Amino acid sequence: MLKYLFTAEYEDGSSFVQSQDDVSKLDEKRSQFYDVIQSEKKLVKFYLRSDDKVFSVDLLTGYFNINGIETIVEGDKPVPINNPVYRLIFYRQHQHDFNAESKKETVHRVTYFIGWQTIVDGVNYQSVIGIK
Amino acid sequence: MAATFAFDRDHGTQTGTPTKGTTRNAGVTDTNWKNSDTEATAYTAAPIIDGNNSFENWLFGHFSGTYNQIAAGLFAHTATALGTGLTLKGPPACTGDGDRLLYTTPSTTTNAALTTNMTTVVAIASGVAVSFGATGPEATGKATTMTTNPCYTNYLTTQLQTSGATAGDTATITLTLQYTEN
Repeated sequence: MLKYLFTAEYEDGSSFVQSQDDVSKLDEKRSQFYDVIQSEKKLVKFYLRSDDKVFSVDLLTGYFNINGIETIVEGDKPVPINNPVYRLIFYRQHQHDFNAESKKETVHRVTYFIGWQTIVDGVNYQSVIGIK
Repeated sequence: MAATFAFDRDHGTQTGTPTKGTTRNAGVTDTNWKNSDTEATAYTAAPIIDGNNSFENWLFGHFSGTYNQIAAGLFAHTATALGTGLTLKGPPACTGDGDRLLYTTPSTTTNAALTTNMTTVVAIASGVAVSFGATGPEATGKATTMTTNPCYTNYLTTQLQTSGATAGDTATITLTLQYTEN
C-alpha cells in the first residue's frame, strides 16, 4: 500500500491523480508515473498526499510546499539564472533489511523523494526533499 | 500495486549459459550461512566448523508488480558486528555485464570472485553498487537502471569464512538492499 499518492498538475489546469492500484493506462506492467512522463502536457506542480499531509514541488518556481508552508531548500550550488526549466524528480527509495536467523525480512523502509533538476551551461543543479 | 519485491536464491550445480543454479527458490526468508547448499536444511543441522567456510549464499532480488523504473541499487552489511574469527565476503560492485558475478556450483571452497569484504558494518550509502536486468540474476544486459518488468538484481552472493571463531551462533547481523523505483 502506498503511503503517499501523487497528483500531477499540468499547465492547462488538468491533473492526473494516482490511485492505489498504480497501474499505467498505457502499459499494464508500468506504474502510473509512466503515464505522467509520457504525457506531452507541461507539468507545473507535483504533489504527494496522505490523508492529512500534503507535500509539493512547484516546477515554475522551484519552491517546495510542506503542509501549506512554502519552503526553499538551500543547496550548495544556487541556480545562476532566473526561471530555468525545472524537470521533475520523483522516486521512492526502498531499504530491505534482512537478518540471518530471523526467518523474515525484518524491516522495509520507504522514503518518498520529490524535487527538481535543471541544467544551465552544462552544469547540473537539483534540489530534492525526502519524505518518510 | 506499485513495485513488489522478493529475495530469491539459487542452489545446486551450475547449469546453462550464462550459468545459474539448478534450483531457484522464490521468496526466501533467511540468509543463514551453513555447511549445506540445501534450502530446507536448518543452519543448526549444518554448522560450519572453525577453519572452514560456509557454502556460498546465492541470493538476489526480484521485482514485479508495476513500476516505471528500478535504479540506484546498493547492498551492504549495515548493522551488528560479526564476532572474532569471522569474515563475510560479498559481491563486487556491479555496474554492468562486465563486472556481474557469475554463478558457480556452491561449495565451501573460498570463492575468490567475492572480492568485497563485508565483515565491517557500513552505512548503506557506502554499499556496493547493484545492477538490474531481465530474465534472471545471471543474464546479460545488466544496467544500473532498468524498465523491464519483471527484473532482477545481479547475484548478491555472500560466504562466511571462519578462522579462530568461537563455537555457537554468530551475532544476528543485518544486510540491506537499497534501490529506488517510481
